[in-house]
Amino acid sequence: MFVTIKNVSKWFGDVIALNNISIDLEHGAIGLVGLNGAGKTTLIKILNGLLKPTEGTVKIYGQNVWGNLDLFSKIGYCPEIDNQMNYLTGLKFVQYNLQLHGYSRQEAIRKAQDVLERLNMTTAMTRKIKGYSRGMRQRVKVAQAIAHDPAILLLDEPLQGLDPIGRYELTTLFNELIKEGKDLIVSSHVLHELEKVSQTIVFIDHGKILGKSNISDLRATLKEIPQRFLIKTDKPVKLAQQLLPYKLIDDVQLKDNEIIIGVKNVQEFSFKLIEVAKETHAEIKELRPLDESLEAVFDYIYRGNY
Amino acid sequence: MSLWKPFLIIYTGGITNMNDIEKIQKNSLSKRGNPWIIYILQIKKYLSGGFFWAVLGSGYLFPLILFVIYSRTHKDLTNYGYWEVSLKLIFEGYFAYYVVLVPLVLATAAFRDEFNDQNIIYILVKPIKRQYIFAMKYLAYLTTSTVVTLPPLLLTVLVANTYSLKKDPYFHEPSSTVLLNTALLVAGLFLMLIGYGVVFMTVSILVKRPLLINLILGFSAIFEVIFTDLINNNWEFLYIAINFISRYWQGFDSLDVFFRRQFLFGLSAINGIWHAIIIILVFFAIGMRKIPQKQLY
Repeated sequence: MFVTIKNVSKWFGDVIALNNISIDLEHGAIGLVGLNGAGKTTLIKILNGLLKPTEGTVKIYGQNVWGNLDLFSKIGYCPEIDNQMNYLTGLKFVQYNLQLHGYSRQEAIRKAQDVLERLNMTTAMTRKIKGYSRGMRQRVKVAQAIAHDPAILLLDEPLQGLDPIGRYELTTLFNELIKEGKDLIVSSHVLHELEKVSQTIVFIDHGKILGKSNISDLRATLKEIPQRFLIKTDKPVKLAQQLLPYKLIDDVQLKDNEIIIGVKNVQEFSFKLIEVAKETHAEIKELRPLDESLEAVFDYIYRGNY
Repeated sequence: MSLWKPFLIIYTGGITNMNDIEKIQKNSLSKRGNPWIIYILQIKKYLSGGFFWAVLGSGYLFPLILFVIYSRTHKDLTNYGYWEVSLKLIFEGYFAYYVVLVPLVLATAAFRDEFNDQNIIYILVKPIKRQYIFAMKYLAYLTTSTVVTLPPLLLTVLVANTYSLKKDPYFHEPSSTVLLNTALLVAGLFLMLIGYGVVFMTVSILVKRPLLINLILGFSAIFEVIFTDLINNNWEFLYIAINFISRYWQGFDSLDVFFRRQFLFGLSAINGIWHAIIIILVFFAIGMRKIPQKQLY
């Protein structure tokens, strides 16, 4: 176990953010999944010592987290917030973060350059963060988290707001870090993002841990669960009519130029969709899973209804 | 392995997994962060804010105003008239408002802004004792506020002295007295910057919206009482200035009396300095004690 959480509760005044949770996490990559407000960020903040549990104990590598400076130097944290020190350049931001970890100036500059190059920020690193796109900000946040070569990475919604290429690049990087032997805890409210990174998924809802699942078991279960997708197209009616007869389609809703579609087998659906789009000459402008589908997963797995 | 387990538990303080031990040993020389980076970051943050430059620029209004007053009035300012006008401006304008406003802006913002935009996260998760965070931010505030407030004061004094020496035939202060007066003004400035700074910074850790509380503290109770004591009988002009603020302008007469009774403030200058030092130490101790307990929601 590299993380042991025992009877942890966290209250913010009258509101309970974490409700008596206990869980042990093994080495490797852990995905923390839950809807917005489920308690993921609170748990991550407790794990990196920004919050103190109201009750219970949290240990990483057998050590208490709160106020443990030795542990802080081994943790890399990528927060959910979109604000970074906007008055700095990307390079200075990572460099100062490294110096705050105890690296000398020269060493910090060198390491900062290396890590930013690894994140494809070579040309942008000398520009002020203020002018960065959302994707660049995410990369710089990840860069400062991994630059000091920590043993544990706590990543709070690291893929949020990224375009598909950005998501792919960061997912690839996370997988490389896992191969290097780092322990990762990644939170997201979108399940399919975590599938690509984590070996174990922990479901959290309303401050409670609903359960822990191995990713391969979860994949098998997910095949059975209808998932909802949003399709934006120029010929929504025609496309919907053509798709509806297939058994893998659970339900179809039409709204302006959008189709909201429930499907049972995502892989098969993606092939069918291309086929039907070709036949109907429909242009697929956007295809994305709806975040709400996570709720469906919860309902299906833990509440037994859908 | 199981035979060794109890010893391992004792030796490692509860860590029984060899993998965990290896991970800890990998970084066994746990580095401590460089706290001076917090100082650098804070100064950079001040310099990046537009409000900072407005505050910096407005300080130079005092020597400018004095220069305008002097150049427009040619008569009736002899017999220490130039000198008195400058003191009025320095105490009723510069000290009464500007030297309170600068700490109010800079010291309050040092923590409040970073708690609001959550950038403090990047510092709090580093292997640096939280007390250093407070100390370094405070030091950055002191450096910045000194750079902002000291030059306008010296420039104002320079303008006053130049005019007094040139145009006031009755002004016969030796240069040593002028220097001593200037040194006292600078000492008063530092005491105010140190005092207000630590109070405002500590309040910004303790409460969510510190600006209003700091505004009340800054322009009313604590330091006016101290400075009233500090200059009583010795420097009458400052006494007048402070009285003007706390009683006639702000109407905090009752608070002044309240603090006097509560803390048994005496009336001598020495007492004033002691009270200032006590308040500074108390607030500094509260700040240093509270920052390690601070949680980031």
